[in-house]
Amino acid sequence: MTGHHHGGGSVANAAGLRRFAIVGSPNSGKTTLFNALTGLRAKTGNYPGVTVSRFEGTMRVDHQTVVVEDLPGTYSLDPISPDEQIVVDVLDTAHHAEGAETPDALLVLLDATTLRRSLGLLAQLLQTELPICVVLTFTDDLARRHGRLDTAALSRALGVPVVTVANGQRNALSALRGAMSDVDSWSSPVVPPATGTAEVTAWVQSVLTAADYAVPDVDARTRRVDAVLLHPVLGTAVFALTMFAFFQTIFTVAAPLQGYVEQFFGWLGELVAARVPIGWLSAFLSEAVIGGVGGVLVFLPQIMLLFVLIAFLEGTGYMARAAFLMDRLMAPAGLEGRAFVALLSSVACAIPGIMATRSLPSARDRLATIMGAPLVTCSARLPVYILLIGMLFDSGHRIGPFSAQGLVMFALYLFGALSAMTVAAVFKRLTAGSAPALPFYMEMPPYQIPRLHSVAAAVATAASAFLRKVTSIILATTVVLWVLLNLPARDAAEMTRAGVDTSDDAAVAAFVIDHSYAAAVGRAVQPVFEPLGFDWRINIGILSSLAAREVFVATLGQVAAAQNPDDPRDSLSQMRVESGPDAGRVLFDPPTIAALLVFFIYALQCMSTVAVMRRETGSWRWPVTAFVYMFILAWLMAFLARTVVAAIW
Amino acid sequence: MRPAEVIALHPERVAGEPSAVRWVVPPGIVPSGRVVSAPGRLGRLFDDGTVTAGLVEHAAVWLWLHDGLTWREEGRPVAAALREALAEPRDWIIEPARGEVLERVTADVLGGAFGDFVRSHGGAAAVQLIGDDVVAVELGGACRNCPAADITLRQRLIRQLRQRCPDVKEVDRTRRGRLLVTLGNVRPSSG
Amino acid sequence: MADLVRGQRARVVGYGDEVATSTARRLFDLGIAPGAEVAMVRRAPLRDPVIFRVADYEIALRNVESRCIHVELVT
Repeated sequence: MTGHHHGGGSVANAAGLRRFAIVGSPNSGKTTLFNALTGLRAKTGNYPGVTVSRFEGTMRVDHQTVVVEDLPGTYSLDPISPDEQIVVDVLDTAHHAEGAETPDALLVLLDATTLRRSLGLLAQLLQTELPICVVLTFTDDLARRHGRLDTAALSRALGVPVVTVANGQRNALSALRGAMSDVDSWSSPVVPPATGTAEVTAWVQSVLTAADYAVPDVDARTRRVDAVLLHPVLGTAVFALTMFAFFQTIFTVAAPLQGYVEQFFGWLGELVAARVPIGWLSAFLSEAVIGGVGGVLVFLPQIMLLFVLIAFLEGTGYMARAAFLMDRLMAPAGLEGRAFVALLSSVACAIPGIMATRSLPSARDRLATIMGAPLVTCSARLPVYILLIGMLFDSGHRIGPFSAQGLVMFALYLFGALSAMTVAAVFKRLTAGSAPALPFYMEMPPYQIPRLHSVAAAVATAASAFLRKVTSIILATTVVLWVLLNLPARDAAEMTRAGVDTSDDAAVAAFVIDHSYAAAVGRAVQPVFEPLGFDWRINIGILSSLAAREVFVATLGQVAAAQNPDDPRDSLSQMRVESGPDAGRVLFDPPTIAALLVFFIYALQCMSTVAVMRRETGSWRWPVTAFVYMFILAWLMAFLARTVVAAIW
Repeated sequence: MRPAEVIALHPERVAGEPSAVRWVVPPGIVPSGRVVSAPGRLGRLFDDGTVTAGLVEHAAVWLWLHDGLTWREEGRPVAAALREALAEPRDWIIEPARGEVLERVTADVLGGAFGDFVRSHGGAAAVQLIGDDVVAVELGGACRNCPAADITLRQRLIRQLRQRCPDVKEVDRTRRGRLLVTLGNVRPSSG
Repeated sequence: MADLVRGQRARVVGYGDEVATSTARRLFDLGIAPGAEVAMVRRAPLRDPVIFRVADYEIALRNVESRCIHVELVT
């Protein structure tokens, strides 16, 4: 059975480790089984050259280590999407695809409540002549819904071993483990079923009769819940409520937790100031490290809560309902309901949102949604928005019955969403002709109580992506920026010559920053940003924010704190343009703030997003395109905003 | 082919006989007995010796391949031929072979879950054809003298046999540890 | 199939001529095959897509696709 030697890229290059692959349709319980078998020893990644997730792990069976791979869910070995193509490639014993090793044995997951459909997939898999063991899931649901199945008779009729895994039982996996330890004993069908559609249907009918299969009743619980959640009026109301809860989470629910994080970093800052004797090191730690990273981690509670909410909704099966409700609205953009779910995830952070596009079977849809997702207002923009809106209106200001600040924030979210849809529509149209349009279909699985383990795993995946961004990119950028803002160091003589009072710390700091490398860069790009009303300080803020948006606030904070350590906020609002035709004007006046806000709606300022785009689309072409078009769009829209606001303010 | 025309069937292995396959088909299409000849491609397979014998049960057709041939190679064409032939039940020629059919079915049942059950209790069961029509099942081992076994096993076995051959009848209840069965209404020629 | 009303049951007869081979294959793999019984469960608030019950599970299809699936009512 072994003896195939393939290229690398998998967990076990060592020959001799038996490979099992889990195959089955989506929603058949594969992920749950995979997690149960491999525990935390699973490695995730991509299949080479394509944007399909690869899940591989190890487990011990009978004192031996074996590799278990969770192949993407598929309805058929006649592939319609990249995911399904992967399954075909991996199972292709004749052609060994690079990096996709042919498994030694297949664990075919069949949902016992949908056997009539899923046996069709088994019929195709039996043609591969790989050893197969059928794993029946949801047998408890089958019994609960008054279905019936004789697994021994099923095994005899199919010609392959059949084991059941019952959720929640202590020895749920024992039968499966037993089977996995003795692959050589697995029987195979004496004659594989014929491949014609009519013959397969007849074969399925014959097998189900022999196995005494009684179709389960309609899942009453799901029907009852759907009667509400998919009701034209009630369902839409519940959906609106869910969206509202989403946004409440962002602002209200996470607030106390954010307070704790802020307190922690404040305490840390004081500790550093008190304990670290070396002046520049103390400044470095408190400004660059704690200020930069801390300013971002303040938003971690909020992001985590959003991830939990998303994972929970996904786990219950509600996301399919949300996609169903939104499909009609997504259609004008050439997208489908599941794209809405991906865009919704982007409200937390575009990175898991982009990864959620994998649920879209159409490669064109995936690309269009990936290109639009960064425009959705993500949590990273919030520190910037809050800072700028605070400078535009103070918290008491009202426009009609609404808080002015709230209104602007709402408008920013709305703009982000609409822009995302528009961009996605444009890209969908641009790629027309590259692939045929896929028919839309979406399975509506029965509602389930999500298992804590699965929710936790989903949240951990999303959170780790975010944390990786924080610790690597943001930290690196704030450090680099701090260095550039504080070099070249000036000595006292130089400063006195320039007329600076060396005993005034604030004046010294301001001088250093004013003549730093960063300032030089900021002034150098002035021609680009001048029409928008930015000056060199905003410029370096923007340049640094290209790495990660949150850095903008840290950068401006450093610049402002240098001038006025006690009240940086005040310093910001007092800043004036230093030179050029506009000299003397308040820097952060309404047109400039408007331009800045709009710039942040549209510009792609997140290297992590660029990296994920690269990984998901498989080339640099698309992230570079995204970066360029978004920069141009941001500039134009910012200029427009500035002009409009200047006219009506 | 429209689905309504395609006969639903599937193959099952026969323990201990690699040249035989039990094809499970919808019940009652063709009368049970030994296959003398069949229509179409299946008939030709009989003629050229690819298929050496056929036996029809109530809801299954047993086929034997010629020595040296494997189901791996011949399976698909045989399946297609069988499907085709079952669409023309009137063109089959079957000679009654109640005893042989019943013996096969009983042996099959004893080889399956029922047999496992008996064996798990330390017993044994053997099947024997008596005369043309009667099949005897002898209980042995721990089950031989167990009164409970006699009643429960009899009932179970009859029930399982009846699932496969609805017209199975018990002939003689008197002998302890021995079950005599026959098919249909024909009186057995020997007691 | 797009013309079924809520709760109506029908049997799939075939696909329209305009259906691409890949789509036809996919419909078969989803269980929406000639001879299969389907039932209309509910529509979305904006009339599209529609949830059907077929092969013992529920699936949402858009009208543009379900229009091409020919069915006959089951009484």
